[in-house]
Amino acid sequence: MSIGSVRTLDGNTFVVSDTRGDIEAHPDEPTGLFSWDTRFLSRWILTVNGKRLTPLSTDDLHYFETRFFLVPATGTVYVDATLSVIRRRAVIDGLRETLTILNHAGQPADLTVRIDAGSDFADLFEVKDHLKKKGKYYTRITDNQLLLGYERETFRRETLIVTDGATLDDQGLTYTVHLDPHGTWTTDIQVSHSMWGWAEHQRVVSNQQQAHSRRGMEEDLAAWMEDAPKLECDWEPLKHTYRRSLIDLAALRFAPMTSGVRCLPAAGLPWFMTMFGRDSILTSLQALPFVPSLAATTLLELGARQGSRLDDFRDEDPGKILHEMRYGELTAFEERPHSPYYGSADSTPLFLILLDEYERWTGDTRLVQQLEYEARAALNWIDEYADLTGTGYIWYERRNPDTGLENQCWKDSWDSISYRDGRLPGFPRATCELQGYAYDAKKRAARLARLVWKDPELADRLEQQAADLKERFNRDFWVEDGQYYALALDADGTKVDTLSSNIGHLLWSGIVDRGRAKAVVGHLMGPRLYSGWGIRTLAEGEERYNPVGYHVGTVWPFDNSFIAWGLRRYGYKTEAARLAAGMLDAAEYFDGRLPEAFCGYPRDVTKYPVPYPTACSPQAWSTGTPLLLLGTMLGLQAVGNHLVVDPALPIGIGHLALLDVPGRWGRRDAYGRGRVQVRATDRRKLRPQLSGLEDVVARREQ
Amino acid sequence: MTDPTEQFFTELVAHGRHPLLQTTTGTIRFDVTGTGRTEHWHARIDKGHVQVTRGDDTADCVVRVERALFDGIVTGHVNTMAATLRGQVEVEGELHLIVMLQRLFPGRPTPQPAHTGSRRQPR
Repeated sequence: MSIGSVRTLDGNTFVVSDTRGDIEAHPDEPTGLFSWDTRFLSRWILTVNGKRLTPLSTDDLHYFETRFFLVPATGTVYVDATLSVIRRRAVIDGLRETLTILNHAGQPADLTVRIDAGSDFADLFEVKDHLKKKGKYYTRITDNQLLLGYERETFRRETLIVTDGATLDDQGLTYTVHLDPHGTWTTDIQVSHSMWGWAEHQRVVSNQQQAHSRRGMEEDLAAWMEDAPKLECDWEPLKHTYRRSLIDLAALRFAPMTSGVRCLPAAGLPWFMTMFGRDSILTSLQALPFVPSLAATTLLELGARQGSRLDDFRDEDPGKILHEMRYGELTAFEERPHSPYYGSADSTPLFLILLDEYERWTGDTRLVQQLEYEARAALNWIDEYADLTGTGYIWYERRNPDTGLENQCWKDSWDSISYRDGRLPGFPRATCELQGYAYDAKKRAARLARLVWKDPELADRLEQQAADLKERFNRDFWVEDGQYYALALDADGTKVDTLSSNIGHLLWSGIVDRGRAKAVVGHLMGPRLYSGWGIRTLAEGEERYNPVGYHVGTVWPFDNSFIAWGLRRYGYKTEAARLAAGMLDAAEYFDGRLPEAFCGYPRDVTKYPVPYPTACSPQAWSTGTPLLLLGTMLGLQAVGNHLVVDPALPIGIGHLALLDVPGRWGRRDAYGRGRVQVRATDRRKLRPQLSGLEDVVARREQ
Repeated sequence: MTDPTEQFFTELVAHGRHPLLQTTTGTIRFDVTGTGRTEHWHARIDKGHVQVTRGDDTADCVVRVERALFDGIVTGHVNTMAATLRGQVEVEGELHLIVMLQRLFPGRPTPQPAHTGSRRQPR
């Protein structure tokens, strides 16, 4: 790809093109028009008189709409240099494109305008893993329609291109254009996609489906923004980041095929535009004080798809919350297990955690009542199905050896779990954060059992189990010579003794013995883990540490946001503020949009956060990160019927206010004031020094 | 020879209350197409209780599927979602009803001995 990429999206339908608006997909690149994990356009190239155009600028009108300003190629003796081409593109139930050509000359112009169109109907997995297609292609032309199709047995996917005034052929559309002096020509092109083919019935029809319109989507976005709390602060970039996060979260909402109109966040563009258990839950948690409705849908939709049987191919157990749902060809033919796939050991306890946190914020006991069966089944999964060795921990080992995931925790790449010397442990594995989640899930479920399900016996039992687990965990996972918790236990119960960011999640869960918190925090904010921008996934000095390794040295914004929450839980306000500041500084470099991950280089070496090459962006839980960090800086907590605010702002922010925070209290405002008053001119000098924050604070306080 | 589809619906009713469906209410009709004629199975779900009749009464959700495939679905040889993505199952109406009900279909049979319900091994 030569000239950058532009993304236009609406839920799980999105276009990735170059800055001219052209799509020229290579088999292994995620460019094109995608929907339901299938590429419906892989070729979409605009030419005027046989020449490609040159981009002047692109303009994101909304997340679902982009405008490209183009001119015919310059630097040649090309006669039509007096033309402008405007390509306005919207993703609204497919792709809508309006082409406008302006003639700036005093002479008329005759042009041949062509769009080359084609589709390889690649499954996103085929793009990712460089696989070949097994079915056959066809095209049909009728009147003003060009239909591109693909079929394999009963499987069919079709792209329908509709436009007026063009000559159609199998490879595209040609317009013969006459422009008067200073004249304008315009045309509309509608590209629709079908999961079943237009010759067939539509196979899945919800009685709640509604067609989208530009106006409807604009109004919906305006209402979404209006409904969110308003941010006031004296640090402009934070306002921009906040706004960006809210818009991206709106863009990532999608309705799974069978949910009707209910929306939950898709995980990330381009690879993960679908429902993920873990990602949807964590994003909903991050966004709870801002858009609590996401949590409700996530709980209902994941609950409705909770595992109900043993299915080795899908790593499914009764009571297990799904990992990932996919809709493409490989899933349809069961060459991949994502219908849905259940290979995730954390989504089930996280489901319980979200259920409780959701009730704390909203007071919606009805939903907790409604999901009682699912919650009990989830608790049962933790005890009966997750404990593969009978040691009282959550373990994972895939039962689908061909296409299942080796690592079923959030660090799910193959090399993420290693000993200090770089060796990889055998299976099953019990990573530490899973135990923290289980502990927290039981404590929280006990509260719901007492409050909503009126089952005090269950509550007592869960609390006892949680206490036992905490004691056992602190005995079995503590690495004495390093003074931190092991990343995991291997099958023999031996500690996988690397120092990792996972220990930060333990603070969030509350499973860390009070007396050990100081040592854990010391590691998290120490030079081996903390880069100045954020906490690395794996500590510098470990054998497999690599600042550009996906889960072995990069910094993940969402990971940091939950660690910040954990720091607050244990009373480490200053450290939480410092973590928030570093991450929000990084967000500024990414124009308010934190990517999935960035490199783990030290801040004082690179001066700016170095992007990770194939990171997704926008990515739901990175989008949620600034939201959760606002919450940790303000110390927001739902306690009883009250919104508790206990601010601890990082240096450089003088005041911070979040107005109209929704919850069981109705709407409340949250205010925070910096410990140190900072003049705007000083802030510039201060922020780059955050990696040495303690010194600055110490100096200022003296 | 046993008829898997008939057996499934018989057991669905005989099972009594299904806790998994305790918050689900609605009607779902399966139009099972085969050699020449279409069989109708009409299930009324009422907070976990399921009644099944053989009529083509209107339903909140209608599922249309070939007989051989449906036999595969109710015996765990065919996954409902994958078959739907292949274009072999048509669903119309209140889609959440099929999402809920399909969880009562068995999982893919494995060559290993059947699990006993608990995977926990003795300490």
